[in-house]
Amino acid sequence: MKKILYYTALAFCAILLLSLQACEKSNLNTGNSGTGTGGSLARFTISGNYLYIVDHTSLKTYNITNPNNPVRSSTQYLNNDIETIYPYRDKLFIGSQSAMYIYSLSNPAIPVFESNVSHVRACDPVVAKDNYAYVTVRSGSTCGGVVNALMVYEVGNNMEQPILHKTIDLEQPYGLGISHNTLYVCDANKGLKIFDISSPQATNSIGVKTGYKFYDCIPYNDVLVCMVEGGMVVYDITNPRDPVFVAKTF
Amino acid sequence: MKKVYYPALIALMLGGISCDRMAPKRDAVWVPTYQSKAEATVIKALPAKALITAGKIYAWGNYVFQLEPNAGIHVYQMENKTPQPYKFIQVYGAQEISIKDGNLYTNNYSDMVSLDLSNFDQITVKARIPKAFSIGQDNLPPERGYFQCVDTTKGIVTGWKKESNIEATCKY
Repeated sequence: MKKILYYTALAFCAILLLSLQACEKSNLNTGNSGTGTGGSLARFTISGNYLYIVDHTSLKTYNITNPNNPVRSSTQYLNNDIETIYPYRDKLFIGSQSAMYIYSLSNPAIPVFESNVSHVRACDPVVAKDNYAYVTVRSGSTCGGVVNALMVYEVGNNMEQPILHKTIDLEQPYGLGISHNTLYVCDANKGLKIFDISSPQATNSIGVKTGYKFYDCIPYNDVLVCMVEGGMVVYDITNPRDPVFVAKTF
Repeated sequence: MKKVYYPALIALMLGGISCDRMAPKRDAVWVPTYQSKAEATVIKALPAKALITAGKIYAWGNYVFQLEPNAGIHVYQMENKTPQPYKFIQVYGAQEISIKDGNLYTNNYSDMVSLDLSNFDQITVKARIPKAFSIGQDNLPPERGYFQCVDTTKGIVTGWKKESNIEATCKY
């Protein structure tokens, strides 16, 4: 039984890898133009001149070249338990409670269904840097699953054959983010877990910040903005390995 | 008579919602709460206020944003790496946020709206796309069973509460 669960978890993660989220979170953005940076649970995402929206049942694409007149260029109907959307390279990955849908953005105006993988629970976020992907797997009523862990995969150029290099048990991991060679994982009540990923295959814990219930973090320039129960907490990550508390909004 | 049965027929076709016009009064019935459409669609900048429920976060330029689910968007200005409460953008039903080139895209219940951020004192709606985002907008209560039928002439359904001694004529 244990083995079955293990392989289920493995399959689950492998599929999640297909959903690599570009490391958008570490993009610099100091001016008031350009596209902003969101967390990993979004249902709205902007890629290029297009806004992609997923509600419970559909994926809608809007051309937002003219913000006074967003023009819908496509509607795709999906299953009825859609939760998240994220673009990576020329694909859109749509997470639902029962499957992962992959759409091609070869033509960004009209995403085209490529494939879907069912029998997995796919609502956990992924971040990537270079040829490695960092995935959190969280069990619970919404996400299903049986494992609570951070998993490190080598993805190379062939995203369909990821290699699992490391599994680190966690309590209840939600969102994550990367700044340089440091990975932040929001482990709810257990705190903000900090990992050194300078050698991804040897990803190791280098610290934890506690005191809040962490849900998601956005590395943004030299700060880390975290969504926690009650509001936001900000850390200075001038030294990414050593986040220093700066402020909270509550 | 036609007028009475037509909506019921549509409801039946749409999702197996059944209506019994002679239904007795029941307890623990889901009753919709309404907001007038005129009120629900008012989007405006308000002074900063305290957050009640932490929603999704977003960063853009020198600002960070946090959703107050179903009520709007808290705007903070970053000063010395510290978010200073700046504005609250009232957007009823809001759950999502994405920004490009000074235009904020969010949902006002099931409508998608694009907001002009060039003046935070005077947020203007540049565009409104009805029915772009149907999350929790199914006009159905949180759980199956009897419920008081939705009367769309009363406005937008903003939530549900359980009440007793209600003539519940709808069920799903």
